[in-house]
Amino acid sequence: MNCPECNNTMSSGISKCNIGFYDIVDIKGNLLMRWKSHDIDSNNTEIGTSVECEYCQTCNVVIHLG
Amino acid sequence: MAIDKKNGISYSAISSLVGKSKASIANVVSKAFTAPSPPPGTPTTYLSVDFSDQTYTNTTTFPTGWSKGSSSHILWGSQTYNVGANGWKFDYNATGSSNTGPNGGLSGGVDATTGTQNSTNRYMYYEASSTGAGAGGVGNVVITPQLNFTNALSNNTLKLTFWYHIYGVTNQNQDFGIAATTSATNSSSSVEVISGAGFTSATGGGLSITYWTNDDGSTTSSGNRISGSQQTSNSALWRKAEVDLNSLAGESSVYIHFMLADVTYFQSDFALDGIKIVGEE
Repeated sequence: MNCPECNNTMSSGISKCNIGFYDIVDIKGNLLMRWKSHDIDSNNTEIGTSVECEYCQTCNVVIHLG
Repeated sequence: MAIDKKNGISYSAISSLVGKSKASIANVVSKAFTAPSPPPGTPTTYLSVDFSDQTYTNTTTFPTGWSKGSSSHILWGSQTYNVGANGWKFDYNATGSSNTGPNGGLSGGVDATTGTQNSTNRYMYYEASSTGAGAGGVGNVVITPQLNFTNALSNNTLKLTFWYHIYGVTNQNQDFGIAATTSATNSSSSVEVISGAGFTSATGGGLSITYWTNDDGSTTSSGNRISGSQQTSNSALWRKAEVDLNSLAGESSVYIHFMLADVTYFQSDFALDGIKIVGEE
């Protein structure tokens, strides 16, 4: 899949809701890209949820594969 | 030939004069005196927005004249909205939360004919994360600018169209409705423009919506709410919906209210794009 903005090949990752941020991480949980911030409480059920994605670090574009 | 001043001249008399059959003459006379069809009205666009002018990621800044419900906004009866920091806002590409929302806005804007996504296009959506709904699942509204249909013809051309993306693994409970009232701060039946156009509860009242139930519009459904998840993935095509506004023709002050209610889980992001109201004057 190519990035719709820069047309470069997008990378595979996991889009995860961490405390304070939606992050892109690898399968081991290592941070690949800090995507966007949020104000969700740390004990909210959304924290820790994730979905596979394609992302472009240059353009900050994320496509969810859910 | 003398002409009877009361009864005129008969087809038989004319027939004998011009050498044409009575039926032929009757046909000519009929065409000459048939009232012409009224001329078509002038196509008029009352509202057209695809949110492409919203330039900030995740912004809550609304287009000129638009607003979202404040803490005192009446949804129905005495029910005010119940929402925290989120609710209606704007974004592009995915919404953040997993397994909900589109991957981009509608490609083609208000005149789109298919629901193709474009991840760089912006869209308006209800952010269901965290405080997006509040205890009890009461939602919130976004309201159009004041609309003036004074000169709109009541000839069945006045209609609202929009595109929607409603995907969420667990958003089976939410209810989306559209009201038409005379107030920007009240969506209830107490100020409805016409009978039935205002909300009476989370699932009661409001205008009838006809909406696609597949990706090409070959099947549709109608009702005063669109309930539960409709699309089946983030990347699924946007689908189109239409609301007949013919009964609002002639009204001078109308606000259209888009309400999402009964939101109880974060995977309930609800997106709108390509909103248009057209008619004839």
